Amino acid sequence: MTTHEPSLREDLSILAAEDRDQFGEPPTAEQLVALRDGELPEEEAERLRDLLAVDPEWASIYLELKSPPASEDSGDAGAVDVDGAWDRLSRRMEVPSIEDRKGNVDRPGAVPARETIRRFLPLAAGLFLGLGLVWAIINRSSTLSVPEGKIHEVRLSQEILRATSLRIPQGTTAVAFFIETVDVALPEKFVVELFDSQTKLVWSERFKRSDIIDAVRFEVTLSHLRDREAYRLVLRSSGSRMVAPILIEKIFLLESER
Amino acid sequence: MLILVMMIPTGPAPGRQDELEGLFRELYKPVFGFFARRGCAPEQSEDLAQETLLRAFKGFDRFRGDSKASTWVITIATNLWRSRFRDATAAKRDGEEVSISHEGPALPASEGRPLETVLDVERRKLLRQAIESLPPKMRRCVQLRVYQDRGYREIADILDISEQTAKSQVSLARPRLRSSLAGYYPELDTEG
Repeated sequence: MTTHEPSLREDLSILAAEDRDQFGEPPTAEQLVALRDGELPEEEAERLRDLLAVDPEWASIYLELKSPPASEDSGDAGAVDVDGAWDRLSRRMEVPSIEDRKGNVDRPGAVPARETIRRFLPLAAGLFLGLGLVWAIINRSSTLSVPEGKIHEVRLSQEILRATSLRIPQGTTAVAFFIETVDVALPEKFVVELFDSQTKLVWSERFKRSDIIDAVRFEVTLSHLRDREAYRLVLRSSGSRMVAPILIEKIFLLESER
Repeated sequence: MLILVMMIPTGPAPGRQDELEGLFRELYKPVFGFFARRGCAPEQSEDLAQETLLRAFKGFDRFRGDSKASTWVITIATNLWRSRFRDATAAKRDGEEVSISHEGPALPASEGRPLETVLDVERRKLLRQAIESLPPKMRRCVQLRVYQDRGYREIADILDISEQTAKSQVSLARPRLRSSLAGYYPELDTEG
């Protein structure tokens, strides 16, 4: 004889957990917005509504998308240091911080002299670096890692997931992959790796999140790639490959035009 | 082939920084709250809110005028949360200890009694049959009301129905569930 009295709510929660497992990938914000706006095909809308009924997390997010919280609503987090947060963000964006702006009370709209110099330093550095590269190319023939010849650019967007065949034009000397990262929460440091069908590492490069905007450019010289070979491109956190989570994965077949 | 590397000054023009700062001050707390309500610690909420608004500002020209700024930013926050949630779920599956906040009642503690487990499984099987025999809208109303413990206003918003419809769907479901599950759930037997 059982002593635990059955609860409808508890049993429904168990069934809901089973149902959630069957849904697979969580919905995107765009799908939820389309549901809100009545722009989803009815079958997909029904499927999403079924998910919202058994998933409190996504139901709450859907409610927030329908009615975004007020500007003063910071949850139960208590006092939030907005000034400090703006200072940190503006430094990341290269916007003068509050302290800088307080010390530059010039005419409205003017760019402070210090800011003018700061803006042109990268340009000056770039020109210097560019001239240096030109000099090196003229005087040294083959040891640069920057490839000469034709670079074939490939944009790997979110839509291209698997089994893509990449045709490489004749005369290509390197392939530059642009990996879109706009929907990916990138860690501070991450790695892009390319493996062949034998899982041998063909190429890898490390990046910092602060160096990129919405896409990673990953260039591989063609001499490292084989025709009609299947490759797996992986973007993952830095650290041990055994535990670092994979953030983006693409598989493609390389084919050269003859 | 000559390759010239040009580094172009980044960052918004001075005339726009006031606009971005104003937007930041309006949206930071709600975005912070979005992550805090999902169980993120204050430091993590700040990081995620910063990341959200940085992405929003970088795409600011694409966005302009399409919809409310708050909706657009919550959309970015949602996708960011989705990515993190997916990574955390994968890490948890791979054996790492990760905290994932999830609303909803805790599952009943197992007492290790085989007979009770068999009865529980049988009862839940009957419950599933009863729930799945309900029309979809009615089923969802019951799940949102009983399992998620949501008010009728929220149920109406989630399912895009009226509050009155949400109430009537739950009312109509009760006698149907009672007749299928007579004696299994005390709350169905006692409620009117």
